[in-house]
Amino acid sequence: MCILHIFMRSIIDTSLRALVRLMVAKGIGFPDATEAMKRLYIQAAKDLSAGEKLTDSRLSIMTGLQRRDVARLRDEPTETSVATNPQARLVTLWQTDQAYKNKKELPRKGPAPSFEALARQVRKDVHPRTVFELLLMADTVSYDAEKDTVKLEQSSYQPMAGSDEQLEYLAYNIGDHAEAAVQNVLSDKPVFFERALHYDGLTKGDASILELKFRARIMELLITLRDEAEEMRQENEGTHRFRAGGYVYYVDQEDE
Amino acid sequence: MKRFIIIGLLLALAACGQPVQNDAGPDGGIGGTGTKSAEVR
Repeated sequence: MCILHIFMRSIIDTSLRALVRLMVAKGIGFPDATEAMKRLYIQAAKDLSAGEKLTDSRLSIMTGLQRRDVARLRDEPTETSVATNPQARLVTLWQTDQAYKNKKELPRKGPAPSFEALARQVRKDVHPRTVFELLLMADTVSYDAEKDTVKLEQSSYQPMAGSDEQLEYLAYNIGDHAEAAVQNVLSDKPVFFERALHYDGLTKGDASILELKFRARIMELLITLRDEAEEMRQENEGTHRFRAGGYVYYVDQEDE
Repeated sequence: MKRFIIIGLLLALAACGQPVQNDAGPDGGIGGTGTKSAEVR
């Protein structure tokens, strides 16, 4: 086996193990994943062939796919849109919009400033009650039934475990992280900031302490950058999207 | 190749989810997969 195959097997085993476990857990079979990968191989070959004549033979040679697969899939579009999350947007507006930023508690209904008005500002085609229930289930807001008011409890939105929204965040956060790292590898000069702290030989308690410190600092930074991004977008209109984030993972190596 | 494989697998995941909600206004905010229960682990 050549060094390239050993190298690629290491990348695939290391980077895809968790995702494959997720797919198996969600009942996504290998044939479905294979079909999606075939489309992406073809798209990648097209992307890397800018200015070249794109014959089925060329795409077949570049991807290792059979010509009949290339002919069948080459014109099928691949998903490129990025979801917006109305709940996350509402939490942001609540903390940055001049009409709301100093109000931790809002009347649930009525004209602005109210939760209903804020929800309508984010999404006109979704009933404010739906947004309210999603935020309430995720403990992002709390509800006072006596006063009929909604209180903001979190500075960010974490969807319910197992929800479609959570899977969307998984896809887009990991997708952009992978894109940044891969572009760094493929470029002559790394383009994007991409760093991680990594240690072994720690106790669970010490790992937990590091996690808490990282969590506090990264949330502080994300909130600062969020506020700056809101101001920037008010002042200038552009076409770039931006995503930066942080993660923590630790595990007992004896369980791996 | 890693990029292609990862995106392919993610798209396979997305294909079985609900349609992407993209008819809203501009995107912007903080969010992720971490849940409150995970935070108090």
